[in-house]
Amino acid sequence: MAVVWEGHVWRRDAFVMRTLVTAGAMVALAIVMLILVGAALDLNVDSAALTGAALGAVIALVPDRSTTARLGGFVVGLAAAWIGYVGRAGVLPDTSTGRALTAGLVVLIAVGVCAATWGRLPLWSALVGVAAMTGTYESAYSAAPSLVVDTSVTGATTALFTAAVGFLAAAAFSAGPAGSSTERRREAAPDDTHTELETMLEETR
Amino acid sequence: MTSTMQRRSLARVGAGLAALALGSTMLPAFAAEEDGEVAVTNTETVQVYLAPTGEIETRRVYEQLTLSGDGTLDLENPVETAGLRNLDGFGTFEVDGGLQRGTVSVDGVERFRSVSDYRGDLPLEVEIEYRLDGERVEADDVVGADGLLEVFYTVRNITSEPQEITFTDGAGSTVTESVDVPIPMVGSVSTVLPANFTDVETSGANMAGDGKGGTKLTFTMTLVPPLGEDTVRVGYQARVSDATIPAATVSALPVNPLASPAFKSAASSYEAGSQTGEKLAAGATEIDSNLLKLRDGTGELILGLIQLRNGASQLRDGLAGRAAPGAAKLATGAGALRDGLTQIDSGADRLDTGAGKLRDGAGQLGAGAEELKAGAAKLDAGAKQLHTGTGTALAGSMSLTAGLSKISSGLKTLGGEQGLGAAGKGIDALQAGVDQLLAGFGSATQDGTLLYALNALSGGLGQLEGGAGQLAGGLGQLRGDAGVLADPADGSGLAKAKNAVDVIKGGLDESLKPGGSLDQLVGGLTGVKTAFCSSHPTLSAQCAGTVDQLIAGVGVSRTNLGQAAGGLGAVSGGLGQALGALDAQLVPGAQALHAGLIQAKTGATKAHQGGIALKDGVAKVGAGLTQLESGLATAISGVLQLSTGATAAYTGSSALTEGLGKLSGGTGELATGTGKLAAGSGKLSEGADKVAGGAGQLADGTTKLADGTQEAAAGSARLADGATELSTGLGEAASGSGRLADGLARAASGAPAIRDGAGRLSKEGMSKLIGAGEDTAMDYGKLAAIVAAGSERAEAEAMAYGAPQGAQGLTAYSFEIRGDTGEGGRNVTRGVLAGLLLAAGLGVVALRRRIV
Repeated sequence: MAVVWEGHVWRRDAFVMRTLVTAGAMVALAIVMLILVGAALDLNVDSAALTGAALGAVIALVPDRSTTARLGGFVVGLAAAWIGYVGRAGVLPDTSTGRALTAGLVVLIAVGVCAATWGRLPLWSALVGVAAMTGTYESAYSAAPSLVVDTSVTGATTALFTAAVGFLAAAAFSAGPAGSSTERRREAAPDDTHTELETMLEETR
Repeated sequence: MTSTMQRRSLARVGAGLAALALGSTMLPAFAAEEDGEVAVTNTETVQVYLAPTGEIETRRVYEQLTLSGDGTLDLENPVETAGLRNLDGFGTFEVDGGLQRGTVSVDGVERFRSVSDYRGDLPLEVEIEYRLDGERVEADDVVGADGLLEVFYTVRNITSEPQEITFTDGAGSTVTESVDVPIPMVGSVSTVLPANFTDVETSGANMAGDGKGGTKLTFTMTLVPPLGEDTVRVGYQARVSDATIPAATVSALPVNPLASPAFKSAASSYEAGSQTGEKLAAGATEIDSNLLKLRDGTGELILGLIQLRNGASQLRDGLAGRAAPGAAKLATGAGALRDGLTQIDSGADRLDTGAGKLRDGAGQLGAGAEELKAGAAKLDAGAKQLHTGTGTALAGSMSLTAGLSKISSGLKTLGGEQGLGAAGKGIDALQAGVDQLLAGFGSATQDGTLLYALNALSGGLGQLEGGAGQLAGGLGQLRGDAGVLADPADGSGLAKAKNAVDVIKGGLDESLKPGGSLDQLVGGLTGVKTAFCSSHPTLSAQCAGTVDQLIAGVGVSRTNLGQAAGGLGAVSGGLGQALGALDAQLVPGAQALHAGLIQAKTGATKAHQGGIALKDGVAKVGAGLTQLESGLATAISGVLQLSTGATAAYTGSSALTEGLGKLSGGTGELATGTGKLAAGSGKLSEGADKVAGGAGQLADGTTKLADGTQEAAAGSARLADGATELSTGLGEAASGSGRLADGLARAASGAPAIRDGAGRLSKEGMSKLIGAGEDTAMDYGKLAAIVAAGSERAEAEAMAYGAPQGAQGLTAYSFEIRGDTGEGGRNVTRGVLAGLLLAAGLGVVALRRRIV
C-alpha cells in the first residue's frame, strides 16, 4: 500500500494503522482470556475459541452497514447452519449428496433472508455466521449425528459466545466504521456503501 | 435500483455458492447389469441411547448391506419399517411385509444403508448405580458433587428361554430336561473418566490413560452361561470434585461358543468332563467287579498258599539234596565248555576267512556264469545255423553224388568206342576229305582243277562282257529314232521304219476316208459319166460303161487299198511292239547283261582268289585235323583218367552224403544241446548269484559265528563262574526255601483278611466312586448341552431382523449411556454471556459513536 505522509491522507492512514494494531491486539488478548477464563469457569470453549472469536472480530471490523445489521446477518447464518444440521441428521441421507444439499440449502437460506431484508442484512456476515457454527460444531455432529438436538445447542451457544467475545474486543478498538462519522454517513446513505468499498479497495491496490 | 442490484447480486452469489457446494460433492454412481456372483453382507447395528439414569431414550437400528462382485440379484432384506429412512440417497425403499425388496446390479461394491426405529426386544438390560461417599444417589446429585464416587453398571442378558436339552446320565442312558438357555453374548463396557476423577480404582477392567489427563476403562463381559454368568456387574470408584457423569458405552453382540476360538475349548472341556465322568463311572464299576473277583479269588489264594508252603518244603529238600551237588557238576562242565568254545572260536575265525574267500569266489563264479550264459546263447544260435547248414550240405551232397554218378557213366561212354574213339575215325575221314579238297583246288594252270576253272571263267566272262556291250549298242542302233513324222525319210532304225509305214498308212487312210481322193475320184468319174458320157452322143454308153468300170475299179482299189492300209497298220503295230520290246526288255536286258557280266567277271576273279584262299584254309584244316587227332588221343586218355576219378568221386560223395547225414543229425542234437546249455548257463548264472549271495550271508554268518563263539567263550567263562556261584547260591536257596515255607504258612493264615477287605472296599468305596462318576458325567453333560443349545440359538437368532437369503449376517448392540457433564448449565451460561457481551459490544459502539 502506497502511503502518502502528508495531508489528511497521512492522518487517516495513521489512524487506521493505530486502530488496526490496537484492535488486533485486543482481539488476541480477548481470545487468550476467553480460553483461560472459559477453562476456569468450565465453559468448555477451548476448541472453538479461536474460530468463534476471530469470526466475531470480523463482524466488528468489516465496515459494512450498521453493527446491528452485521450482527443480525451473523445470527441468521448461524441459525441457518443450525437448521442445516438438524435437517441433515433427521431427513437427509448420510452421503456426500446429502451433505452437499445441506450446504447448498444453508447458503440459500442465508441468501434468502438477506434478500428478504433488501440487503440490509449483509450476506457476508450471514456466511460468517454459517462458518462460525460449522467450525464449532462439525466435529461434534460427526461424532454423534443422532444427538444433534442436544449437541447442537452446545455448538450454537459456544459459537455465539466466542464470537461475542471477539466482537466486543474488536468493536471497542476498531476504526471508524463502528461509530465514526463515516459509518453514520453510510447508515444515512446506504447506497453509497458500494462506492466507499470500492474506494477502499482501490486504495488497498 | 441499487438495492435491487444488490439482491440480484446476492442471489447470484448465493446460487453460485450453493451450486459449488452441491457440485463439489455430487459424484456419479455407476451400475452394471451382468449375471455373476455377488457376495452380500448384512450388518445390523442397534443403537440405544440411555440417560445417565439408565433409562432408554431412543432406539434405532442401522442396516447396512454391502454387495460385492459382479452381477444382478433380487434382494429381500428383513428390516424394521417404522421410521425407515435411506441413508444413502433421497429415494425410499420398496418395502413389503417387512422385507426391503429390490433388484440390484452390482459391478464392484454397492452399499445400502438405512436407519429405522428399533421396535424389537433388546437382548441386554443395563442398570446404573451411583454412590457418593458410600450413599446411593441419583444421577442428578452427582453432577457438581465432591467426594468418593462409585459407579456400577449391571448388564444382564435377558434372552433366556426354556429349551429342552438332552444329556447323559453317566450310566449309559440320557436325560432330557428343560432349562433356561440365553443367546450367548459377549461385549464390553467402556468409558473415559475426565481428569478430575482421581484415585481411580476398579476391578476387572483394562485401565489406561487417554492422553488428555483422563482415564480410559474397558470392561469385558462374557454373558455366555454356563461359561459365564448371564449378569455382569462392573464399575469403578474415584475421588471427584465438581463431579460429572462420564458417558459410557456398552457394546455387545451374539456369539456362537462352539465356533468362537475363545469359548470353543471351554465348551469342549465340558464335553470332555462328561466323557471323563462316564469313564470314571465305568472304570469304577469295573474295579468293583474286580474287587468282587478278588474277594472270591482270595479263598483260592489261601489254598494255593498252603500248597505253596508244602512245595517250598519240597524245594528246600531238593535244593539241599540235589540241586547243590548238580550245580557243582555244572561248574565243572562249564569250565570244559569254556575250553571247547575257545577252540570253536579259533575254528570259527578260520571258517570266517574261508567264507570270505568263498564269497569272493562265488562272486567271480557268478560273473563267469554270466559270461557263460552269454556265450551259450551265442553257441546255441551258431549250432542252429550249423544244423541248418549241414542240412543244406546234405541235400547238396546227395545231388552231387547223383551228378557224379552220371558224370562217371558219361565219361565211360566218352572214352569208349562210341565216344572219342569214333571221333578219331571221323578225324581220319576228314583228313582224307581235306586232301581230296586240296587236290580239287589245284592251280590256275592245272587243267581240271577248281582254280583253273575259275581262272578260265574269269577270262570268258571278260569276253562276254565285251559281247554284251556290243549287243547293247546294236540294239540301240536297231531301235533308232522316229525323226519327223511328216518325213518318212527322217529318223533311223525300226523307229524310222515305223514312221515310214505310218506315213504311208496315213496317206492311204486319207484316200479311203469319205470324201477322200477315192471318193473324189468316184465323184469325178460319176461326174464324167453324168456330164460327159450322157451328153456324148455316141459314146455315152461306152463312156458310161468305162466310167462304171473305172468306178468299179476304184471300188476294187478302195478295197485293196483298205487291205493295204490294214496291213500297214499291222506292220506299224508290229514295229511299235518291236520298239516297245527293245525299249522295255532288250536294251535294258542287254545293259543288265553287260553289267551282270562285269560283276560276274569281278566275281569270277574273286572266286578265283577265294579258291586260292580256300585252298589255304583247307590246308590249315588238314593241319588242324592232324592236331585234333593228336589231342583227341590225349583227351581219350584224360577222359579215361577222369572216368576213373569220377568213379572215385562218386564213391567219396556217397560217403560224404552219408557223413553229412550223420553230421546234420549231430548238429540238430548239438543245437538242442546248446539250447539246453544256454538255459542251463542261465540257471547256472542265477545259481551263481544265489551262491554269491549265500556266500555273502555265509561270510556274514561266519563273522557273527566267530563273534558269537567269542562271546560264547566269554559267556562260558562267566557260566563257569556263575555255576560256581550257583552252587554256592543253591545252598543258600535251600535255606531260603525253608524260610519261604515258613512265610507261606503265615501268609496262608493272613489271606482271609484280604478277602474280607476286598468285600468291604467294593461295598463301601467303589459304589460311591461310581456315583461320583455318574454325577460328574451328568453335570458336565448338562453344561455341554446348555452350551450347544446356546450355540444353536446364537446361530438361529443372532440377528435382530435377519439377513437376505445366503448373506452373511451380523448384529451388534450399542448402548450409549449419555454422560451428564453439566452441559445444560454451560449452555445457559454461554448464552447469557454471549448476550451480555453482544450487548456490551453494541453499547461500546454506540458510545464511540457519541464520542467520536
